[in-house]
Amino acid sequence: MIFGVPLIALASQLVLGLFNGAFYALLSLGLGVIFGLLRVVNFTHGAFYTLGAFAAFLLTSRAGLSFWACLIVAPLIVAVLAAILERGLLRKLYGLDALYGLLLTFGIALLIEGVLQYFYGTAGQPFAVPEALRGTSNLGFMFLPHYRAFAIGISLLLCLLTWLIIEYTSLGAKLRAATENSRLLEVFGVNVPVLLTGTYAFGGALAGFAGVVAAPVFQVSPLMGANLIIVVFAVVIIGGLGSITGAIVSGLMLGVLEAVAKVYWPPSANLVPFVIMAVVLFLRPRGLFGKGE
Amino acid sequence: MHEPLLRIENLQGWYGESHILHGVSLSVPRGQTVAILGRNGVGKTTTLRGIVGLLTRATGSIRINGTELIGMPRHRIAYTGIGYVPEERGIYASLSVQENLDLLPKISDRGISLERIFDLFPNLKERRRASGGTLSGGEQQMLSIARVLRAGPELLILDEPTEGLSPVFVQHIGRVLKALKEDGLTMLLVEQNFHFARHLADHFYLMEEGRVADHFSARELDARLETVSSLIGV
Repeated sequence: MIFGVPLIALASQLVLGLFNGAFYALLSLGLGVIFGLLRVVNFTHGAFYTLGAFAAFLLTSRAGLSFWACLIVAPLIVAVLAAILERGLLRKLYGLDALYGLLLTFGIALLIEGVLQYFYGTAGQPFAVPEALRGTSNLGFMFLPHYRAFAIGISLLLCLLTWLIIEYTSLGAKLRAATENSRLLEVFGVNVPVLLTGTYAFGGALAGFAGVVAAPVFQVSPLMGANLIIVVFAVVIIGGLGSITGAIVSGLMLGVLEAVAKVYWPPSANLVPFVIMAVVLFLRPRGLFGKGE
Repeated sequence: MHEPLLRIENLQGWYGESHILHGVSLSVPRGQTVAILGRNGVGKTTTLRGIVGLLTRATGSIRINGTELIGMPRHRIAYTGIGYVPEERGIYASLSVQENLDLLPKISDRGISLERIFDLFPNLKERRRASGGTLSGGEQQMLSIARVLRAGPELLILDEPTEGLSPVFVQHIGRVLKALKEDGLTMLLVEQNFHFARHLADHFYLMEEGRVADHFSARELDARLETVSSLIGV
């Protein structure tokens, strides 16, 4: 017993918290990278997550692809859509007030959700857990569902890979440089427009990947992204806009804190992200990992 | 007479709505160093920024090796052979010194090796792991020159390379630029420090109110010292 809660209940909630936190981390990472480079508050991010889940749903049910193939194909589809969106529409708004990008991406999110609702309604579509990951393991102090362990592991792996690329490769150095001063980087001969498209597509792919991983656990529904994205914005602000580490760490932290809140005082769980956001904004307006300018 | 490496004709340039350049014409012969002199606000920096595509709007003609730069996408301009050292130095604070040195795409095989860079600027070798944001002004200027040399430019464009530097750094940068000149590198520089420019340049352009007021070779400089001094206020 820990503070009157059985260990097994607490441990299960912690796993659930890490599981939710992994989604927060994947989504806020993409959102943060996009904001850092494009200065666009990407409200389409939740819709990218939904699209990832729907792509997986359609690829498995209509095209007979396996879950594993979907993990690669669905994010690629979302990446292509994101690239088209950036090239065709978003690009025209660079240099204008950030509000225009926000409105455009918000409008596109509503459009995507509307189209999906028209065809699928608001009810969730079932999506099976892949066979290899069914079942649970008895760890002695708790039961660990295999799929949740897999989801946490692969999400963290992807976050780690992204972080390594940004911090330690020459492509990552160009991305960081473009975040600081992209005009000068262009003068040096770096094709910044392509870098921007690639970054937006990559952020979209991360969200799409999260959507595929989410599909077997949450049902595939047109509004799944809209429900999640508000919390993810809180995560980005808590971690500090544009901070990679901040997005990952605060994503996981928030998932766990939500879970703990659910154990001790269930009604508070939904409030936790926003209360923490308010406190962080009050004490550290640039977020926990944000750099002062 | 050979075609100059860089030829600017009747360059008109705008920053936002303000019309700064009113028909600048100048040329930089291959292998030579050309200095643009003039008071603050006459359009020297704007001329350089016009060459690398950083103005809101530009008309006229800027040709390097016969290739027109006006209208060219900004990220292609470097590949015509231009290396740009901006007035504000443009060091990326979130990148290490080494990352700044490796940042620029190679634009030719003339790029200077890392060994030679560290030979020219020993300070950078010591500080290669430091973040760009922690460098002193002099170190930043060295890094700004060094990283662009690694890309292999044919024409080095320097905007106020000695501005705000201590005499030791000014001398050091002077020595390096002289060595590069002896290697045959073509340079176009804007410089407030007249004595610095005097020791380096083969040809001078004097700017006033967004256009070229006069130009003359280094040999003709002595005869005009008085007019030049009064015009740029040294």
